[in-house]
Amino acid sequence: MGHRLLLITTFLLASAIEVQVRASDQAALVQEPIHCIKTTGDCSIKAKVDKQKIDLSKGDLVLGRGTIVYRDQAEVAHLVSGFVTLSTDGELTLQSEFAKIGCASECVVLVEKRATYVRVTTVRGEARVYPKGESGALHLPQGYSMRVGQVLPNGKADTEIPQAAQYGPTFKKWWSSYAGEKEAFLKSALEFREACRMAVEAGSALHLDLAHRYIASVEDERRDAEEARRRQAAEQEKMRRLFRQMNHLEEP
Amino acid sequence: MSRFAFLSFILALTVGFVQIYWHAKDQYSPVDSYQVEIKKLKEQVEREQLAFVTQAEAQREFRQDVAALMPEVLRGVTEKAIDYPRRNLASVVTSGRSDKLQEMMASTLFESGKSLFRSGDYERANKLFAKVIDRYGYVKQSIEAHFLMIEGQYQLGDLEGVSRSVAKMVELFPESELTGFALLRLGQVFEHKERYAEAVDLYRTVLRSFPYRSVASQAERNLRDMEP
Repeated sequence: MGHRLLLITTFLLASAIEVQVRASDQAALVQEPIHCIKTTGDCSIKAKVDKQKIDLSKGDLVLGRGTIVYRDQAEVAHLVSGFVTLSTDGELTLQSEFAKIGCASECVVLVEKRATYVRVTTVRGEARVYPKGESGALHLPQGYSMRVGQVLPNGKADTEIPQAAQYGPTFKKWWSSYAGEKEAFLKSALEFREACRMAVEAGSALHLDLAHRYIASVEDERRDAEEARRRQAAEQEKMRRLFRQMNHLEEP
Repeated sequence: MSRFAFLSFILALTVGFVQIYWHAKDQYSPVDSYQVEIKKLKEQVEREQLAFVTQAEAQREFRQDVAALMPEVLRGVTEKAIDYPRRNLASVVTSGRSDKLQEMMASTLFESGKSLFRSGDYERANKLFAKVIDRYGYVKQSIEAHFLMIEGQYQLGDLEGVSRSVAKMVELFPESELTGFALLRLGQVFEHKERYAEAVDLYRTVLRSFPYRSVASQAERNLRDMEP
């Protein structure tokens, strides 16, 4: 009897504690208008803590701490500032000040928005980046990262050439905006690391090729200069001999 | 009493006390209600800040969209830059048909003014003459409109107006016979103001400068009238 009473009392205390914890969880997102996520239309959202998942009809976004996004009347998500993981099967696009980011098929993309640029990193699949002013999309494969800046006087956004993503910093940021299981994350992270390694190797091979070409061009230039110098010396010697012959001078 | 029963009793008592404490605190302590109020206000501020940041971002995004469109717009500027002087010139240079229409309108206004002048309604007549001068200054009726307006001003006793209008007429139509008559009218204004020396000088100037008999004879008559 006493044992049962003890259990019931403990349960009551634990329930009270759980209610307190749930209440604190609700404040993880700031929404304007209030509770607008579940409705349609304009909605501004700010994540106060990491790993805040927002389910949208065409995919989902996971926001890092301090990240601000808003959804407009046309259900298009806009990244205002911070760090977001975009997961979609191809239909969801994320709009930002400098570029629109989407996917051709199923993919996971990390998007970081700063005051003067947006950085896109593909961790799975292949991203499509549409810089402002460009008519077509740029394909960004897994393991690659690129930066898109402000629109330049030519009417096109300042777009950086895609390059191998930096695994370490990207891993940390990705984890801060990953809402799934740890095991699944580690598996994806390993794939991403492999993709980064291959991108680095591809980049290295490209750079090696460029270096070889440069070295070859320098060698050619040096050989050409040597040949020109030799030809000039022979010409001068010929002229000196002719001069001595005409003036009946002896060879030195 | 067993130990379990005792512990359970103590725990139940604790839970009961805690519940009573929280209930009493909610009921009687104002601190909690203030804290709730503060929390609500903080949340409101956060939401307002979020709305502001979102609006600012929408504006920045719009600015980038505009910047992306600018080169296309600027490409069209060259043609527009040519178009603008062309339109500007067209607004100044009017066709022959338009000139005739303007002359007709000026003539209608002037005739209406003259009719009012004859009937002695100088005030309304002067308004119409002023319109003719302002809107159609280059038409042939312009000199007459100036002269009749001076006459009207003289009749209305607006002597300052007469001085201003005569000065303008001398500047615009220095060789016109009507300008000579207007100067004679200014001489009379000087006489009214008892500025006789200036009036005499003016009549003599008219006599020297205007070769028209009618003007000269009138100037001589005015000079004779001034002799003691």
